[in-house]
Amino acid sequence: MRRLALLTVAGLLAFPASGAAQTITNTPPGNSGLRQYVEVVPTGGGDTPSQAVQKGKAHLPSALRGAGRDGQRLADIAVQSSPAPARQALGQGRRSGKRAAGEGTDAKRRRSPARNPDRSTESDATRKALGTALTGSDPGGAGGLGVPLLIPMLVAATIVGLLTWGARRRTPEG
Amino acid sequence: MSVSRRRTLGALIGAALSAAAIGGIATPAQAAPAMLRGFTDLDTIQRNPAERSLALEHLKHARATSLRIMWLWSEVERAKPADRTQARDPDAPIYDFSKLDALLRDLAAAGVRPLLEIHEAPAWWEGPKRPRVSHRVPAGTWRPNPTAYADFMTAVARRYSGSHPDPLRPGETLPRVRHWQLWNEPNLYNFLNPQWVRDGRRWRRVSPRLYKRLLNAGYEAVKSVARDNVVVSAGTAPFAEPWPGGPRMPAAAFWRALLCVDGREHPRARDCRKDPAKFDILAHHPYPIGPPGRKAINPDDVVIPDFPKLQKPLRVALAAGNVHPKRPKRIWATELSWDSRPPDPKGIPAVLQARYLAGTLYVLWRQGVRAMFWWNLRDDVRGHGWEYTLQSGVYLRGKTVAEDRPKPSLQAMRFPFVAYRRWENFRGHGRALLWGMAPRPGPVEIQRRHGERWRTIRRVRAGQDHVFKLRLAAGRGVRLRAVQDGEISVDAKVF
Repeated sequence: MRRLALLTVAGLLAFPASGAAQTITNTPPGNSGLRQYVEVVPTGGGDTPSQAVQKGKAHLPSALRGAGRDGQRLADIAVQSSPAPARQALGQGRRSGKRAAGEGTDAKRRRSPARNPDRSTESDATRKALGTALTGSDPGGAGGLGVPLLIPMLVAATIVGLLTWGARRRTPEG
Repeated sequence: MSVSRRRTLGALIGAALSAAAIGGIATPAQAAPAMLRGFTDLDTIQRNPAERSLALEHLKHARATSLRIMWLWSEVERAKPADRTQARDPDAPIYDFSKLDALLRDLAAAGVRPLLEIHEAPAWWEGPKRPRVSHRVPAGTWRPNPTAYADFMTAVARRYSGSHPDPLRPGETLPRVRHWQLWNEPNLYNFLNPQWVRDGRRWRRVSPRLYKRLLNAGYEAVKSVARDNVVVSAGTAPFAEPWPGGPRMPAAAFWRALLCVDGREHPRARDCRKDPAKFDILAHHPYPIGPPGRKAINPDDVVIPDFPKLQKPLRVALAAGNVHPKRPKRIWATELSWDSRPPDPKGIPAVLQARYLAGTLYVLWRQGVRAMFWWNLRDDVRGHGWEYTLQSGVYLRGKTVAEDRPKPSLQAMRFPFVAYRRWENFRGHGRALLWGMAPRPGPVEIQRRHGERWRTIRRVRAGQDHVFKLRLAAGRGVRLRAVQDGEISVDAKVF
């Protein structure tokens, strides 16, 4: 029993990491799997499809660079101020513009960082989904606790609960 | 009158209306069960007349009293009517009702009541600027003409009014259809398009408006033939993309738009009294993800325990006069299921499917939902693959209906029984809530399993609505069952 509890805690701790690799559709056993009856978890981009988020980011620097010197500067600022995965993607996008498309291994390398921003949105999506399922409200919305705060709190509460439970079991009753 | 008294009175009136609405579809010989049970079965009952009578026996054996028929407008209307008079004529040569006549005759002979749902417009009744027919915009879904739908529904309601002569049996009449469901899943691209339209930089919801026109036109048509016809709204699909512009629209958002209600948490009605939504029963398809008590992740998706997301805006809309007739509406779940393993390797174990089915009836009942139509009496043929078909029947499919084998879920449908612990009993030593719907009103024995033997531990009485409910001490994993006159319920494991 205790092993199971420890595994649960480990699972909770590992959740944000494993969530990053999940897709955004939810088809557990028993679900028909028919497209129209599949649950789609919201993306971190809010009311925007994840594909659109990826597309928009990939096009941003090239579009700005076409807008003169100011555009060039703004594009550089955008790249420098982006989170690391997105920065990589934007940087690669700039390089890829100069190369011919479909260059075997290089082409594969170019595609993989470009997926990173999308992956981060999926991770956000999973966290958001968990938050919604646990709190019944949108954790990213106004008045919510926010998942980054909620998950550590949950984990801590679980650990404290399990320790208490273990201690009570050890104590002979009566 | 105090608030609680007013609520009690409202509940009593609601219950009476519910009984009246269900009464037409349930077996009249005895007190109606609290939940109406029915099936949809396209493959065999609808399309295979040779196997129909035995399949209907199986349906009744499951204690279902109703069959939800899904019929295509485009399949009946073979040519464009010359004028509206012809469109409303149930004997017009442009219509081919022969297969539907035969199905309804067989249902009447078997004593099974139909819920007749009609969707999919013929090509000539689709709206302008129709994109090419594709998987994304299927035939018969593009801006269907509400006037034409009303004319067609008038013809169908006249034909099945109970007084229309049967063309194959001189001196007899065609059977009566009393329950009408107008369209199917209008929040899905599979059945109604467009769902959204881009208006500048914003997306605008279109399908609720398109559907409201169809619903109101169909309501007037069906009621014009017989005032006691019952109009059931199209069942909305449970899931959608949580962003605007997707191919599906979240059910709760769809209903709020249709009912002229804004606000998810604190719904407020806009003034739509000049154009109220017209229906008698609100239907939804809470196809589940996970166990029956698991709520949807997205705030506007609606699965089994999420019906308050529809009931809340409905109450607000009713109070504001945005719904006609202005009286409490019943809520029905007209499609749901889980695939089982066998035969679907990705399904849930057949025993779990049975427990989930019983749990579904309980969770729906608790929320005031009073009808449940299970998708599939018998499993689909595998066809293109498990992922394209529903293996959710209560019968495992054989080569013929006679060779079908019952799954455990058959007993869950016949005699549902569940046992749930409350959260405070987390340690597993507390009390469990037991709920069941017995075959008939009267005494029920609750038995507990000890080793290989079952021992009676309690006696209760099922009410006139066949429901019994009690609490008793039972920890996690304890196996219980209910017995009435020798008939044994599906066995419940305390969760």
